[in-house]
Amino acid sequence: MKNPEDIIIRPYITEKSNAEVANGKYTFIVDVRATKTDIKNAVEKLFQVKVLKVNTAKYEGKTKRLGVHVGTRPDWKKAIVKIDLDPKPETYLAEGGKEVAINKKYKTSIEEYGITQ
Amino acid sequence: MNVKVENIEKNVVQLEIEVDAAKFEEGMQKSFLKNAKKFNVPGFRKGKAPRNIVERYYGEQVLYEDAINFICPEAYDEAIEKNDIHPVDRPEIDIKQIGSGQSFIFTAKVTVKPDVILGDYKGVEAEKVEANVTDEDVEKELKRVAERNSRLITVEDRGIQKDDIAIIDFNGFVDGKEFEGGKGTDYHLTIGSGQFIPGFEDQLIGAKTGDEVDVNVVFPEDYHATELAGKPALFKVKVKEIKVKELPVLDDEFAKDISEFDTLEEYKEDLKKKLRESAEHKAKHETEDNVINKVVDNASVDIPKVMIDKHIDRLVYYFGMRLRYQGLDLDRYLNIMGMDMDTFRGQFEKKAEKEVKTQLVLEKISKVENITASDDEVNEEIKKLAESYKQNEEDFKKHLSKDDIEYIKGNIVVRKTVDMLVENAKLTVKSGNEQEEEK
Repeated sequence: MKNPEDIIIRPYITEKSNAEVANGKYTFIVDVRATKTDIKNAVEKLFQVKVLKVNTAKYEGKTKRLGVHVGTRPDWKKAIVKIDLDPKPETYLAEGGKEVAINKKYKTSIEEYGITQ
Repeated sequence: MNVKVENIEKNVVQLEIEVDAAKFEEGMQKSFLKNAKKFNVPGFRKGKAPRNIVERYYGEQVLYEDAINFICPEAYDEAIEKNDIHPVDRPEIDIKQIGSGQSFIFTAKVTVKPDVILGDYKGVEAEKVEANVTDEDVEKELKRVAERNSRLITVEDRGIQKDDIAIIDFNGFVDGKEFEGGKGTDYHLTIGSGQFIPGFEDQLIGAKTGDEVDVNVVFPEDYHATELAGKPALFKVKVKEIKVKELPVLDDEFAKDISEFDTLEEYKEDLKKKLRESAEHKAKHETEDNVINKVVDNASVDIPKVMIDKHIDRLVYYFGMRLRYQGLDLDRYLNIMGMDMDTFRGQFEKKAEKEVKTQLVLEKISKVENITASDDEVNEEIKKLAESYKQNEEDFKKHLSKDDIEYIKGNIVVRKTVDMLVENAKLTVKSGNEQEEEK
């Protein structure tokens, strides 16, 4: 479960989540076992964005019955990830005292993934 | 917007219209707004899904149809106006390229008004019909009026004469037996009208009121009831009453009775004036028709079939309207006449072709001669129309749409064109009376 692709399952698109996109909050369905830190790392790696905050919510699968057979739907976890809409270029000192700046990509790939404004 | 015009056939033009991407996007947006309520996307209440979500979920093709409906007519109208094309039919539209971010290209194939090749239209030779009212005509008219005002007077002291009206009961026998339709009571028979079998009326002459007469006649060979044709018949006829049509005496008294004039002379004068007016009107029309026919004959036009078909549609429609006034409808009429729609339409073809051609030729002439209707003329015409409808001019104007005014303008132009043609025509005089005699 270390791969970011395994953590982030799919985007969660509803009227509510769609409205929050304007504020930089993207909602995903994630693996139930993933922690907030896992989610943060996965999103940063997958979409090249800077994550400011992660809120999660766990949902228990509903109990369904088909005739005499009783079963449950799988539990799932929702994560609302707030990303930095105005990222500052990060700098670090490379070998020999040079300062190198990395531009954090902003929002492009995350939108390609299925959430658009 | 780019338009390429191509003549592909005679009277058929193909337009290739390119609408730029921004315009297309506008149409797509309109289309989305129109249909937004219909889209159902999970996670959204009905009609609340934004456009990009809808496009992702359904594909942008769902918006094409309405987008095309928004864009095409507008672009098409603009294209035909810019290129001065006069279509007579709906265009056949074919999409060449579509998609957001691209320009939208479509072709429209349409039949256009044919080009009129005018022959001579100035100085055509045509018969001029002249109005001619003689005293004789007035007398005739006076007689007609008298006839309308005649009264029936019963006479008892003499036998039936020609032109009397005999009220009779009759019963007919063939081979000693009554037959169907051979019986009648209180029948008003005008002697000499030839209403009955030949010989029947003659044999009644001389009979007096109350007389019973046996009339022997032979049915003619071509009688419509075949079982009776050629057979001798006996009619027992009872004369109940003899009446004579009494014409009013044509004098001042009569004039006073039927008109607002005091003397017969004055009435006659008025009658003459009215007759002259109608004769002049008719003569003018006939002259115009003669001239127009000549001009139209001189011109040649290749009329597209759609135009004729459309005109036939119109003629058939008007015919149906007239039938409805008489309480019939077209289907029933066709049934009675034993015709199907195609033959019925076929009857109109010649007429339609001629009318369409006339219209096209007049249009062309008015264009060549640069005949237009000024605003003053239009207003004058509107005033006249308002008067004929007994409406206030201002009110009437308010109800007129742009099309109506266009129509009025067209009428004025046609009238002016016709006037111009008549003025320039070489007219050979022929009086209205002479023509009647020829017939």
